[in-house]
Amino acid sequence: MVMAIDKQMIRLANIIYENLQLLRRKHYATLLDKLAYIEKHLAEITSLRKKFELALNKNLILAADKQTHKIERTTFDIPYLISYLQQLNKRKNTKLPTLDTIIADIRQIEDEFDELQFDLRTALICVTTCPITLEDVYLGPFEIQLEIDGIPDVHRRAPYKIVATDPHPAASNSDITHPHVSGGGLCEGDGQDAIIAALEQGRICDFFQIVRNILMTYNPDSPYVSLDEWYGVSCYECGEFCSSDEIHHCNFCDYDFCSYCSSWCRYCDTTICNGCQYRCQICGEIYCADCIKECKDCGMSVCLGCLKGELCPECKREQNIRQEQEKESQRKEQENEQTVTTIQ
Amino acid sequence: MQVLFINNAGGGFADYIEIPENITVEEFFNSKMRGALPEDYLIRVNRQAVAKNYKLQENDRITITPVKIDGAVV
Repeated sequence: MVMAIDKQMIRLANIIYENLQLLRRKHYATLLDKLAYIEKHLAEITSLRKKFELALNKNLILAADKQTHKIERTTFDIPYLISYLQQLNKRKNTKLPTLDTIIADIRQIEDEFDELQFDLRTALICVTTCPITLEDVYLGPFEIQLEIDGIPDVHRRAPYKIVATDPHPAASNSDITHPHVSGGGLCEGDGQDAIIAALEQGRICDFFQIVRNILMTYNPDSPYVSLDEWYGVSCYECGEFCSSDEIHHCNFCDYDFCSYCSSWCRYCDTTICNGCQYRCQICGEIYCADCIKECKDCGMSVCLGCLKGELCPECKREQNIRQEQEKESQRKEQENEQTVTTIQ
Repeated sequence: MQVLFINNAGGGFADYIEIPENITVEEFFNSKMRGALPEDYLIRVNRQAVAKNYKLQENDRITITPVKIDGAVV
């Protein structure tokens, strides 16, 4: 049985080794492309040098001027290309691990993690972390699934997935099972370079340790969902926990409310809680404190839409009638005065 | 003498380096990780946890991995 396990382990180490070779081959192909590109630039420089020399020898200053522009254009990218090439070359000066080293790494994974599983058919290595609790929020254990076939593409996409085995996702989004995991993808943050380096160099155990340590760390500056809002936000009125999308802030009392305990002003659209809303006694709709006034005459609450000047429609109508009557009586008084004058 | 030093903090440095003879793992950590606390790191020598007064040997493999690494939304 032990032999069988060892044989499987050797096969697994072989698959890892083959993929590391493939990664290195891809990298060397990129290096070759860049070298060819620089070589092309250098050939252009040689040609320019010859033309420039010829122009100078024949005292053709205008032709030489023309060449200086071409020299500027051709040499512009050279420092960047050289620096990029040096970086690419530097990245690969570590030796590929031997099969023995890879097997030792796999054995170390067994020691460091409670559970190690591998599937030779799908070329998948999985380890499970201990149950993780961050700032009193229980998130459960996570399985880190490394696709060995994905290692050669490590610079284009992360070849691993994070699967919550006992998921306790955020209330607002069931895809977010950890503040730094969404849809199985880990936001590596400060660990990104170390993860890529570990996979490039075949340090599989280091890879799992780095990923585990990211999962065991909470960075409050950049989570998908902050742990403060993991269970949602509590409604100030009824105490119900809601996701941040379903919670509304009342600008008048400065508290958060659920959809049932809040509404909006029909005049200015501001969110208002049930306690800060007023009903217009004319139209019967809900308004905020800024959009409702008292009628100057009767003291009735009236919205800005129904208000006529400083009065409710009824008081305004009465005011209009009074004004009409006053005008009428004034008119009659004037007529009477005129009649008395005529008789005299 | 030469040892393989793997530092999983930052960019993930891994290379053979020269160190003095008879240096302990604690002295090595203090010289390489200035200002850092050993309890904030997972330190392994030849894939094993060792005592801080362990004297490093030729070709030892020393791995230092931060216990806390900040993830972040890209």
